[in-house]
Amino acid sequence: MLCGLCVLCGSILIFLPGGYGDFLNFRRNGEIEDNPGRAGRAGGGESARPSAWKIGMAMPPVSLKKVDILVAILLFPVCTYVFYEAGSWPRLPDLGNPGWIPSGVSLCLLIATIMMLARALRGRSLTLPGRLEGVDRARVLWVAAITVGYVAVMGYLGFIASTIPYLAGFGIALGERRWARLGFFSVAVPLAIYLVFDATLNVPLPRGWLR
Amino acid sequence: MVDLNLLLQGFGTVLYGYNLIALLLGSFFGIIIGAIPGLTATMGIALLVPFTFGMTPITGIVMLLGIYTGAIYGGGIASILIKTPGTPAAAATVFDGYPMAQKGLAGKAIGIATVSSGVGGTFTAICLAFFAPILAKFALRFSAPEYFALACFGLSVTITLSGRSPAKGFISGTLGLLIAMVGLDPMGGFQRFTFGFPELTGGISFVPMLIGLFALSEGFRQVEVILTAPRVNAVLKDIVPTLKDLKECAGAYLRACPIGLIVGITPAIGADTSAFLSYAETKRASKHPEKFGTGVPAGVAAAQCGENASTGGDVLPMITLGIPGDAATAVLMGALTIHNLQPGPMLFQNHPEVVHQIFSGMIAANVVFVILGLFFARFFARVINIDRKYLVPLIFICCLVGSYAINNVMYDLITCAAFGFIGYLMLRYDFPVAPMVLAQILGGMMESNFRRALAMSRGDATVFLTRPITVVILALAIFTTVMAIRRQRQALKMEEELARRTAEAQ
Repeated sequence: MLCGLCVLCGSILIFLPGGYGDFLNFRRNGEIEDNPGRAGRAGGGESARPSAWKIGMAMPPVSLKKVDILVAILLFPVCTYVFYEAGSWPRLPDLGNPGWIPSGVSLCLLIATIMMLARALRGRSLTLPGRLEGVDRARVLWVAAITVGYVAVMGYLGFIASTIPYLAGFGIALGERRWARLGFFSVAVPLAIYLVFDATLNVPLPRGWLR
Repeated sequence: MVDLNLLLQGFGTVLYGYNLIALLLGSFFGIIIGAIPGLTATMGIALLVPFTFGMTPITGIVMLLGIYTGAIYGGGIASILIKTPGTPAAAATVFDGYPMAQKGLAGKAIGIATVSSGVGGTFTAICLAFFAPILAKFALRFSAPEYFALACFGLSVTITLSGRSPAKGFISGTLGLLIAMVGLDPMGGFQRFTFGFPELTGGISFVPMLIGLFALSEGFRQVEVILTAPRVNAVLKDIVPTLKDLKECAGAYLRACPIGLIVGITPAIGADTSAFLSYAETKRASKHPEKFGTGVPAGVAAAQCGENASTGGDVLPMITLGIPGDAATAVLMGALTIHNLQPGPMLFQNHPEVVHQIFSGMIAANVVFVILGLFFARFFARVINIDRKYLVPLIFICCLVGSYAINNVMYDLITCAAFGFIGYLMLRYDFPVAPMVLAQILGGMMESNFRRALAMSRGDATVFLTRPITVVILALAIFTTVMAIRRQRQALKMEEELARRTAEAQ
């Protein structure tokens, strides 16, 4: 269920305004530079395209219209389901209909969704102050993917064995290329957390099958 | 009224042994979290809640209060040194703090900011100690209909947390209400929205969801844009303010303290509004308002004092009525619940000594961060330079491990990760997160008291219209909702008009 949710959410990020075909194109050494290919695609051949770190300062605003419409489409079946489900619950004598509150809530949700959809269709959706570069979204997806993997394997490998490669992968995803420092960090942090939680606070962490 | 004996005993408890260590550590980490741009007080509390599990209730609460007050103050350090607020509440400090730093008075600015925050926070913490018992005593008259009305009022107030769009705020809030309904029916005991998963029979775990929505989502935001804040190389001198400096700021304190208290008590209006109002009022009353913005110490004092002055007021409705005033107090409330302390008037009845220890802790926290802030100002200034490529993974690990540590079940880990990503998407696409959390807290209260009220009246719904206190609170709820929607629609119209004029001018 979690993986499906992440795939759905990731798809929203990828296919919505932005266009992230070159989503693997982030730089080494933690530096992010202008991408000449993207500048050409932007149709202006701008020589001084702002870098990803200056988001919001020189970029045109982006409308949330498509997002609002997509969210509305996702919420309509939710409202319908809640309304239907609430109607099927058993009534209790002198305690009222247990479906009243959920039905009322789903009605409020439906009204709010229609309001948002109406604004979007009239072209009055809110705007974001600036557009994200593809490299930033790609980084988020990478981190989300490795986090899903980390959560999936922690129960099997145990906390320390799963956290070391997770932190290493995370650092690489953020552009860290100082391998000695990254290696030390990836080993030291899980050990420190183990000492704090397991040894000091007596909060056991997953041991896994590879104990 | 406050029991002075219990309050003094509370100080004795809070300032001794592990409690004192926890307070010092909490304040220390809180200032660090506040000083780093992108990390908020709410995130800091959510992140560190799991670390309090192995502690006694008062030790854990005192640590979290230290984080709360320290983080609100710490935001001013980045505002002064790098013109980037460490927390949203510190935005007003930039106006005069950064110009002071540019003139080589960074140390003086930080010193004034530190003392001013302490003055504001201590004032409202003392007010909290005096007013909370009075409000709690009044709340003892409440029954199920009144609590239902209070929950509705709290929910209506969440709309004012909606950011820019009332519709999105409603969506976020109603989804929070639906999330609160997952699990077993509180009266009938049958399963609701569990989809056959046994893990969902107990509902969605609240604290992992909270950590995910407030802390992990911000972590994803930090991943999105690895900020390159300018390095701090300022040499800090004359950090401890002189009496002459404080005398210059006295007028600012006299205005900022009551403004902060009133704004703090008003639900959903937070420290940032308090800081801006205090700054504006101090500027208006000044003999030289034209100098504000050029590096006037009173400007820094007003903003910081107003910021921390709101903390006592924010805690007041949470601890007396069980209604969180903002996101940070919602997290604090969750932490109290984990330690088996249910906020509300019964807490005053059943655990008066704990309540007074919380008051003492709040007062002591505001003094402790002043001492730490003055002594370690140079260290906190350097903290801003921390490499985000290591900080962000650390945040992720703390969130995930913290979620697991609550009940030692993988389900909580999955909940935290899932809500972390959902929270990130919500932040990214302008859906406010706080209404979802507050609705999750208040939804259960609203539903159970609604059904209890109907049980009391044998199914007669007019019970909500025949009790005066209930009617008044419900009327307030409707009034607040209408005013909030009107205010936000006006703000949206002004925004659209400004955008249209800008487009025309270009």
